[in-house]
Amino acid sequence: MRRLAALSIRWKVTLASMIASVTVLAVACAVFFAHELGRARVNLGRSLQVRADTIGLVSAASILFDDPKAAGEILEASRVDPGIVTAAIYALDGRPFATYRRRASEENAPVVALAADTMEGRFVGDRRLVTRPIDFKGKRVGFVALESDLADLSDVKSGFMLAALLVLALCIGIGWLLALQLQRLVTRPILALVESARTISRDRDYSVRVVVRGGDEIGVLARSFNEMLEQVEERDVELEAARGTLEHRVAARTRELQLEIGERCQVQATLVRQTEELTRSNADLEQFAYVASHDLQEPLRIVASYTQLLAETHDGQLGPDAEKYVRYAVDGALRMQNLISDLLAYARVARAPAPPQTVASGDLLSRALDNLQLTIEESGARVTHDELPMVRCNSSQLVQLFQNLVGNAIKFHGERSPKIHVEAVCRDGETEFSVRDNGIGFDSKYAAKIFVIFQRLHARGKYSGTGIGLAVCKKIVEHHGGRIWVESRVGQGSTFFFTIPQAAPDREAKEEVRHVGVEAS
Amino acid sequence: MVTSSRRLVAGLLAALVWSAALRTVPTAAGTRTPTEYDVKAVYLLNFARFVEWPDAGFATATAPFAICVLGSDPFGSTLDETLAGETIAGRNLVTRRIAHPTDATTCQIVFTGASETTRLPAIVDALAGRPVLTVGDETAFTQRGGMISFRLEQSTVRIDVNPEAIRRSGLSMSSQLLRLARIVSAQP
Repeated sequence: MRRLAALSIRWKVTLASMIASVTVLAVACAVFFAHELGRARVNLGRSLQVRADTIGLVSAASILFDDPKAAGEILEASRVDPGIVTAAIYALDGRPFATYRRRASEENAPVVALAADTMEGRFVGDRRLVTRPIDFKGKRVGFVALESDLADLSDVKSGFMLAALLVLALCIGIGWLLALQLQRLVTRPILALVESARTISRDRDYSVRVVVRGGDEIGVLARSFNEMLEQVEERDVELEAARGTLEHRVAARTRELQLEIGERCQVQATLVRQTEELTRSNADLEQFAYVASHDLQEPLRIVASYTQLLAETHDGQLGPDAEKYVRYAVDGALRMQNLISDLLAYARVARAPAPPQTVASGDLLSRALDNLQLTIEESGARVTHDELPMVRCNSSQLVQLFQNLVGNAIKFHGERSPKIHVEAVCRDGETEFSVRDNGIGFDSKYAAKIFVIFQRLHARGKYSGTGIGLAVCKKIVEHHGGRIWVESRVGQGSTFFFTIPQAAPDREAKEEVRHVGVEAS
Repeated sequence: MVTSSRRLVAGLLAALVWSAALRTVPTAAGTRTPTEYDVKAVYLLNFARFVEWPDAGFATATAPFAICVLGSDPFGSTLDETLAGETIAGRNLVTRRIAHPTDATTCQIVFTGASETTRLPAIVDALAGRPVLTVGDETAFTQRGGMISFRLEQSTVRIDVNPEAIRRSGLSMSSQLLRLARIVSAQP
């Protein structure tokens, strides 16, 4: 079966037509054979009957004149028919009047039951029996019986077989030649199609076209094939064009990107350089501020000490103007001392040598409140707080932060006694602290300004301070990698928020600290 | 095949026994073996069947078919018994006993017994040219101008025929009968 499937369509078509024609022929032969055989049997029966009737007709006289010899001679004439095996003439009373045997070995006479129902011929085994009455001038005078073998039939059979075989062989031969010729009608266009398909798939040449012959299914197939090829070709061209455009566009885009990357690299390099410069100048500035405030402290202490000494020792001895001047000088010196000390604190934030630790922020708040105890008692402030979480931080700086914020809140209280509440929430990997007061508040448009160093919202006469405290706060929070901001409305109090990351402060901040530290030493 | 052969043989034997039992002639007196004249009576009837008579041979269209016995009658009652009820071509069969050859002109068949041997020429002359079948009981009958004569051959009745005589009389005899008979021509 698989071998048959692999066979060329040429042979399949030839085989199919051969099988069909040979089958039809064989069936026709079989039908003819059956028909012929039937007819031969009928003919045999009929000819036997005719022969029997003839014998009867001729032998009537011999029966009537009781001449068995003459009857025997008549029967003997049956010898011309080799099919007749035995024959007999019976008198009316049933006695065998004359008999005939083709060969001595044959039975004496065929069995004849002399009854009307046996008058018809019948086949007994390989013999056929025919019994006919002998009538003469309307009177029955006897019976004749013939027994024939079926040699004639087998002759007919073998003759027909031979003829059928010859016809079959001849027809197979002619049919094969015809099928070989006729199959080309069907297979030639198919094979041409196959050849074209092979050429196309081998050479990838889609410009090849199949020659279309006729409007039958193969013609339709060939036309469809050609249309398909056209489409493939068109698509090929389009694809080629698209590919060209695409390459072009990719090249252009690549160029643009290269230019862009170059620019970005330059920008980045500039940025890095500027950052470095900025970092260096920042460090220089801090170094300068630290060194300056540290070194300024000593002469200032002398100025402050001696002007105070002058005011104490010469109290009432100087003129009123002189006393006023000395008081101004003492005030200025003290203010300058505060300023310098605050500046030092500000500068120190970046220089903090202590590594961060995980501590309870509630403890840190308590320490800040201890430091502020005098101020709190004086102002009658009430400071409350929720439960505060553990944070990882530089604890002295966080104490400073709380101290500045709570101190600020107390300082800018209104006419009511100050109430301050500290709470904390943990969200998005950081802890958000808030310090809320019921103080004077301020316009929220200044919310960014207040964290800038030396910036003040109020006249120095109304609220004391150096304008450094919130700048220090901002610096501490940023040093820990957090953010600080404020929400406030005039007369409604302010709330300061700051966040401390729950993870360790990022590495860059540490690097910077170390860098600055190294330069300072 | 063996079975069917045996059956054939058995059937054959049965047929033989059966036919032997029937080889008798039914008569008024009962069943007996047929005598020579029983056979000859049947033969006379059979001659009527194998010979054709012209219509001119009969007086009328419905005239009976007459079988006549000339002279002494050797048949006795046998002939009448044999012919009783038989017809030939639609005509009734009758038997007549005649004494003179001239009486025979209205007969279709004339049987001449042994007693008439001396009158043979007269009989032949009387019936010359007439369609009357002459049958003689004597073998020489045909040689002396008769048409058919009986002859005994090993106790079997056989017949001689003189076709020339038959032809001259205007009768025609079936070739079947001629085939069975011994052909004889008249002696000069």
